[in-house]
Amino acid sequence: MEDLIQRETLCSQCNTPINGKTKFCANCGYPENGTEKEQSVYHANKVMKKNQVKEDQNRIKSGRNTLYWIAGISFFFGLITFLLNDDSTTFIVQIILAIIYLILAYWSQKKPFAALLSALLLYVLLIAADVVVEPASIFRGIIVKIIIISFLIKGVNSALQNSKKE
Amino acid sequence: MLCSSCKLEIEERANFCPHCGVSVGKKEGSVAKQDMNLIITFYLVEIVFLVIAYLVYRQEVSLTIDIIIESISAIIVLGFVSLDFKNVIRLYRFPKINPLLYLGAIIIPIFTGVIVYYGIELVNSELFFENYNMYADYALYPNSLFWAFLFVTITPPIFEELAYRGFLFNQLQKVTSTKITIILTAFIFALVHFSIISLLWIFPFGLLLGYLRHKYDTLWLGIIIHFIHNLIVLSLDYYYFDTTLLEL
Repeated sequence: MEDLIQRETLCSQCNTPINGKTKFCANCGYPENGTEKEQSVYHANKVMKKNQVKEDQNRIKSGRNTLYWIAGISFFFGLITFLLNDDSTTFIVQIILAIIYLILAYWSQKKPFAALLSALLLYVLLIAADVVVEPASIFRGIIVKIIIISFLIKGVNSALQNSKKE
Repeated sequence: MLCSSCKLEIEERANFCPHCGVSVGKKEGSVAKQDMNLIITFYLVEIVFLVIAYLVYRQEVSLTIDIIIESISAIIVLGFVSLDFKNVIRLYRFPKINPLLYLGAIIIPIFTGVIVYYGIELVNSELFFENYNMYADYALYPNSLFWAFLFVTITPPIFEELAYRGFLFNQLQKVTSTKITIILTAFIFALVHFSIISLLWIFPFGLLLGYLRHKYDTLWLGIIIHFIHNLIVLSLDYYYFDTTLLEL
């Protein structure tokens, strides 16, 4: 008999005890004592949420791949200027940048929000630094820049939705 | 705790209101996005301002332009701070902490300032074959030492601490954890210094200042450390600038 009472007061979705006559589970929000319709709405929302999470994860992954691309571009750009112009300063700077992007890409597996946001801010800063040196440079490869920035922004937003207090 | 939607009493650790089913406690996505947009806006405004300042400096250098640019920079910071005034002003209280900490904040940066100064000089001359003297920017102005002192050691500690450890720190804390907040404020603080070399030491410097801001809930320790550090760097630059002049 005692067993039966206890089973009645547990949420059927997450097994959290439900406080007496309340309609919703305080842990997962399931309308345990609601109508059948309310319960099916809950399930539908849950599926939608799951899809959203999946999409967010894909966007975070694209953001991470973007970082690998930027790291590669930085490295080859540095290497080419070094081979053509014997410019070792640019080479060192580009290598450092490539390493920073790789570190951020690795970090984005654990803390996607912080890592992708850092990468976005760094990327924007580098564009600004080029503008300081040569204002017209902002138009060089502008499509690539916009694509990279939009991938990173999508990644940051998805990470923000997904892991609020990471 | 009261439910934000139906105002009935709910348990502190509840994720959902058991009476109306509304999600509680966790921040709604759209609110977090608003906080996020403010952070990005602040960053972009700072960057655009810095780029314009650099381009103006390239055209013309004068004391008037310096004063104008420093004033605009301060106004930008104060403008953003005014959006979160109540939470920032709270950080100007003196916490009841061990007086030795204040003493440490004065003495330790003297040593680290010297180490960083010679370290950066070494890296700069080894890798980039160039040297930069901060005092040289002001040397031609009338009362040069006063203006250098004002714009190198007084205004940066006040307004950078206010902007990065005050406003930005509070904003980031709304959307992410304290640890990530400290790391990100340090990273942004290093980025806006516009130098790849400075990333090497300004980032750890920012981590320390962010940690102190979090631990003691005050801006004063950061302001003191920042002030002493900049004072050391400027003094050394002033010292070496005079000797190079004498050699000529």
